[in-house]
Parts: sequence; C-alpha cells; structure tokens
Amino acid sequence: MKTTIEQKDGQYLVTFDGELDTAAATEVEKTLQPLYNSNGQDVIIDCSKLDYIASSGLRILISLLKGAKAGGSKVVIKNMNEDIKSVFKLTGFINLFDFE
Amino acid sequence: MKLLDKFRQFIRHRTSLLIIITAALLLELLSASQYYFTRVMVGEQLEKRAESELTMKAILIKSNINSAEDILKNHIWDLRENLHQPDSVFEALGRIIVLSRSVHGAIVSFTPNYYPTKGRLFEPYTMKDGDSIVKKQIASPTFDYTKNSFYKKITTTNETFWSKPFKDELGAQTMVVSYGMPLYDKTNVMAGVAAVDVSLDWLSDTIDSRHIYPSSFVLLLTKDGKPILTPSEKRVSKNTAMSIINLINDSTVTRHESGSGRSKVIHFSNKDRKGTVFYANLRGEPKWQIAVVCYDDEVYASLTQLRLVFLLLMLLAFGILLYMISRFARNEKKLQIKTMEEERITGELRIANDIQQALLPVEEEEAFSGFDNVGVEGKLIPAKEVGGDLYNAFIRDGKLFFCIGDVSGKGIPAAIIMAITQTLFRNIASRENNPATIMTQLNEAACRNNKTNVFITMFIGVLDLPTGHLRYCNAGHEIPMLIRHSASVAEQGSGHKEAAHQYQCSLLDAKPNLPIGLFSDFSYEMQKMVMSPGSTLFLYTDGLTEARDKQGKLLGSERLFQMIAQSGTTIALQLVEMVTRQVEKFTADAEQSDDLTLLVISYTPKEEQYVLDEELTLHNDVKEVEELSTFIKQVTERLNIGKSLAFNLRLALEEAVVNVMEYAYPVGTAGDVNIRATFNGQRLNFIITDTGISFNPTEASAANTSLSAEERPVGGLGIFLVRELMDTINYERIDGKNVLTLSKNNEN
Repeated sequence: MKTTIEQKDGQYLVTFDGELDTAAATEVEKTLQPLYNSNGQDVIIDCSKLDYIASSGLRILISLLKGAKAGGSKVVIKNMNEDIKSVFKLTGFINLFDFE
Repeated sequence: MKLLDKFRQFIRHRTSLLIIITAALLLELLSASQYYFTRVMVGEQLEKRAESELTMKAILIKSNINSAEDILKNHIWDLRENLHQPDSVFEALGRIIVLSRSVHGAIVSFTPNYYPTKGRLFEPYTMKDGDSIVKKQIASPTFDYTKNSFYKKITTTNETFWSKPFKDELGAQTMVVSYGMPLYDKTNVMAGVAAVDVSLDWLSDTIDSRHIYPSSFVLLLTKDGKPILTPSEKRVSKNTAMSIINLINDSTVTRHESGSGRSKVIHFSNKDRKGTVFYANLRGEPKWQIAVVCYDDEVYASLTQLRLVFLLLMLLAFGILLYMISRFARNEKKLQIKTMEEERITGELRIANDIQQALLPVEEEEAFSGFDNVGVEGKLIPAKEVGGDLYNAFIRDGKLFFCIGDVSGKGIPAAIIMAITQTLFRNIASRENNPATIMTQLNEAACRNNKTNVFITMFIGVLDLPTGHLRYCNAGHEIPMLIRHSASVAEQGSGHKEAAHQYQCSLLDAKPNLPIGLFSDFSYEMQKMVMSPGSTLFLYTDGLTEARDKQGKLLGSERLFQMIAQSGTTIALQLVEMVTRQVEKFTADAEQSDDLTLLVISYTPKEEQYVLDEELTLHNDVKEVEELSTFIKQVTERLNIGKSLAFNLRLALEEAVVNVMEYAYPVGTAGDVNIRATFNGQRLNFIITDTGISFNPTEASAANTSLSAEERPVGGLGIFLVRELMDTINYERIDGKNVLTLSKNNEN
C-alpha cells in the first residue's frame, strides 16, 4: 500500500494506492502522523486508487479529522469506491467527512 | 351553567322523593277536602241536633206552662164557687196547687175592698212547701198589688197574661213566673186576678237535665230577651250566660236563619272558644225565646281527632316510604358501585390478559422456522385472572436464548411485572450470553423498588445451536424435563431391522436456587450440559402441575412425567399439542386458577454436508492478514461470490481475526489462530478458533455511529463491522478454546 503526500495551495493532498488493511495500517499511520496537526490546512484524500479499508484505516482517518477540526480545517475525501462508501455509511463516517 | 347542572342533578336524584312529596300533597289535599266536607256535614248535623234539642226543651217547657195554664183555666170555677167566704178561697187555692207538679203556688189578688171585712187589699196565697201547703195572705200596705203591672194589665185588658220572672220574696222565695187571668164572681163582677206560680227552679231542673254536648247549655228568655232560666252556675258561669244573652239581644250581631228555617244561628267566639247559638221562639203565649249553645271544639271533637289520627298515619306512612326509598336508593347505589367495580375488574383482567398476550414471542416463533436445527414451541393458557406467567425465546448470534417464568400474584400488578421482566430479559440477553449473569441482573432489577415483595421464579437457558452446548440458570422455578430420544434397533424374525423409539425422560440437573426479587445479593451460578441431537427440553410453570380436575385432584409432576414419557414424540409442536390435549382432558370443565405455560425446545441439528470446507492457520501477527486476504479470495471465487459481498466478507473476517490476534493471547505470547470456512449450500461459516484466554468479542460494547468525530472512541469499530456485515456472530468457549463463528446466509 503506497501513501503519498503533497502540499499544494495551502492544502495537503494525500493519495492512497492499494489496500489499507490492518497490516498496512501501521505504516500508513507513521506516514500520516505529521498531518494529525495540519495547522489549519485542509487535507484532501484521494481514494480513487484505494481498493480496501479496514477499521484500523478508519481510525487513522478519524485521527486526521480530529486534528484538522482542532485547527479549524477540514478533511475532504475524493473518489471513494462504492464498497468503501457503504462501509462509511454503515459506520456513520459518511456524516463526519466532506466528500467530493 | 354549573348551578343549573347541579339543580338538574338534585332533581334527578330526588325524583323518587319528589314523587313521594307530590303523592303526599295530593293525599293531603284529598283528606283536607274530605275533612271540610265532613265538617260541613257535621255542621248540618249540629243544626239538626240543636234544633231538635230546642224543640224538645220547648216541648218540655211548654208542657209545664200548658199544665199550669190549663189548671188555672180549668179550675177557676172552683174559685168562683168559693168566693162567698174569704177562707174558702184559701182552700180552693189549696186544691188547685196540688193538681200539678208544675204549679208551685196559687194566688188571688182581689179587687180593692172586695171583702169589706178584709180591708182594701186582700191577697190569699197558697204554696207548696215540701209535702205541706202553706197558706198566707201577702197583701200589705207596703205591698200594693194594684199598682202592679201584672194586676193592672189583666184587670184592664181582661186577658190572660204570663208575667216576667220575679223573685217571689213574699211567697215562695224562689224565682217564679206567673200565669194570671181575671176572676169573675157568680154575679159576673170582676173579683180580682187569679194566678198560678210556676217555679223556675223546677223548670230549670227540667231543661238542664240533658246536654247534647258536654259543655252545651240551654237558655230561656222572655220575648224581650230577659233571662227566665239560666244554667246552674256550677256548669256555666253567669258571665258566659250573660254574654250569650247579650249576643242574642244585640241587633248588630250577625245572625242567619238555619237551614230549616226553624231557628236563628249566631256564630261567636268567647274567650278563644268558638261556638254556635241556636235560638227560636216558643209557639203561642208566652212568646219566650229558647236558646241552645254549642262549642265548636266539642261539636267537631271527633272529626278533629280523626283528622289528627289521619295526619299522624300519613306522616308515618310517609316516613316509612321515605325510609324505604332511601334504603332502595342506597341499595341501588351499592349495586351500581358493585356493578361498576365488577366491570372495572373485568376490564382490568382483559387489560392484564392483553399485556400478557402482547409480550409473548409469537412473531419470533415464526422466525424460528428459518432455523432447522431447533424447534421451539410455547403455549400459554391464561387463567381468568391473569397469573403473571411469561416465556420468551429468541435467537441471537447462533444461540437460542430462552426463559420461562412465573410472577407471584395475579391480575394487573402481576401482568405489569411480567411485562417488565419480559422486556428486561430481551434487553439483557441481547448483549449478555451468560444465563447466570442475565439472571443476576434481572434479580437486581427485581429487588429494586420491590415494595410489595413480588418475586419471580425463572429459568433461563442459552443453547449454542452449532454445538448443542446448553448453559442454564434456575431461580426457584420448576426443574425442566429432559427427553432423550434413543432409537434402539430390534431385529425382527424376517431379518428387517426396525427402529424402536425409546424415550428417556429425566429431570435436568438444575440447582433450585431462589426466585428473583428476594435477595439482591444472591449469587446465581451457571450450569452446563450438552444436548444430544434429537433431545428435547420441556419447561413448564406450576399452573400445569397444580391444575386440578373437577374432584379437586392435582395433576402433579408424576402424571406430567407419564404424559411426556408416553407422548411418543420429541417434536416440539407435537409434544406441546399432545400435553395440552391431555391436560385439558384431565381438568375437564374445572375452573383454571393459574396461568398454564409450556415451552418445548427440541434440538435437531442436521448432519452438515459441506460443499466447501477449507482451513487456514495463522499466527497472532497482524502482518499475516495478507494471507487471510488470499484465503478469502479463494473461497469467494470458488463460490462465485460478487465483488461487493466479497469485499464485505473480507472486511468482516479481517476485523474478527485481527481482534483475536490482538486480544486472545497475552501480550508478547505467540499463539495460533485457526480459520475454517464452510459452506453447506445455504450458509457460509467462518469459524475462528484460538486457544487463548476466554474472551468473547461479542460482549464488548459496540460502536455508537451517531457520535461526532470528537466523541468517537478509538475502539469498538471492528466488532461493529463484523456484526453489521455478517448475519450472525456466535461465540462459544468449547474445550478451552475460543470459537467464534461468523455466518452469512445465501440469499440466492
């Protein structure tokens, strides 16, 4: 699972490529740790290449969201596939994040 | 408005009273008019009596007078014959007075100087004195009778004359009345006036002898209204007599003719005593007046008495009627209250029944039909007064949770407690697998606020459907019966092997413990056993064993045992129907005093035929999740499962397995996690087994998806996802191993 972070126009752009299962979650967490305190910058997450997410992955997103909200910014999720979207709906995460 | 309503209500309630009052008034009116008519009649009667009295007295008086008159008239010749000598006059007079009792004395008042020898005035007089006769000459210079109006009248008019009454002081010394006539001698020269005296005393005795009413009296008056005879002062005071005489004489006093016209009537009121005077003139000379006085109170005495009696009787009748009415009204009211009370109770019983019925797991029993490895059948026959029995059964996470109970008491209070207990059981059992824990929590709830010391006997069981492991806890309830079906094979002569069905019926090994609701700190312990395939659990309440037949005989547990053992079936529905029929036959028409409940659970697991049966063993290392993903992919491909479903299955399985990896073994310890995938054509199972510490992931609290980001706790999502994505999630501890089974049913 590959995670890339770009900083552009005062935003963080995170791109996931692959499957965010429990095994990959530890790595991803390390990578995204700095963004937990985004200093008021929005975090855009591109999920177009994200095929799978487990609960540990969801936890990482929550941490991102908590950090962003504290700083007054938001987390936007882009291009999520239907299967993952239904998981978001199931867990109520659909109401927590902004989607594009 | 309110006043009007109050008035209307008053009238409505007092209708009977008003009827009575109206009846009483009508009756009073009737009796009053009757009284007045009767009074009028009595009045007429009075008139008749008074007039007859007057007539009678008049006749008496008249006879006396006539007597005296006649005597003088008829015997004046005797005097005439004996005028030659003065002394012979005395004798003649003497002969006259003895002729009648009414004549008291006789006298001749000679014209002046008739007998020259006797001087100018000569008045021979004889009178009766007891038995002897007294002769006197009463003329004297002081007593010149020629100046007397009596003498003058007779001598001048030459007619007979009745004098006014006077006191004969010179003669009789009594009140007398004289009848005089002119006396002619043989040469037709007027010799003087001959007179006879009628003593009034004698007269008064005569007419005073009888009274028509106790106080009534008779008066005799002259034509001018001067009293001749008055009643004795012993009976009537002089004043009273005089007042009546004055009434008669006073022309201003109103009087009227009597009905017959024979007398005159005066109504008077004397010293508050009302009365009537009837008076009339005597016929012929002397034209005296005779009066009779009657007092109203005496005249109408009996009538007044009658009226009083009638009034009292009426009051009494009225009183009795009032009393009867009030008693009736009170009884009506009591009856009304009683009826209302009965209706209320019947209504309450209906409500209690409805409450009980509403909470029985009817829909769930239909849901059980989806599970072919268990048969659940319950029946509750409520008593007329609902008795608080309850039973419940539902399947969660591959386990059958069931309970049966009996609330102490009857009616609505028991129904309410029963309803609460049902709800609580469902509530607690939806997150708690251990029956003892469920029982303990129920007990705590039951002990709280238990002022009326209601207690509930309960039996709770949890049957793991895949394995037949039964965990149970009893709280003072009837120990359930366990029926084991053992088919034995018997050889027949022809070589066919027939299976003879035998049933082993025994009591479940259950501790009695205590009913819940008594001691909040009682320690309930769980017991376990394994139900072999084909075995049946028979649960019931004491309403069944304590059912009585018409003779009052108890059904008893022995008989029940027999019924079950001889039923010939372990199929839940059949067993329930059979036992119910037999119980109904036993009790016949006897009244059911308590709720009657049965719950039968038959365990009928099928031999599983697996289309797919694959296994994978991993270490408790999260990194090995990749292997799991491959495993799942193989399974879903083999079974042609679509992409989305495959995604969900993978996610659920990953979450469950990771959970085990992270918590089953103590930190730092290595351990295995075994994953077995089975598919029997209908259900896809993932069975995750580990040998770690007893850990039930299904008991961890699920995530709350309604919380905001800040509120979300970090954990809890995993199990939540498993629960949501799979149909059932079943945890069981078997032989020191944690066995977690995730199932998904084939919808195609």
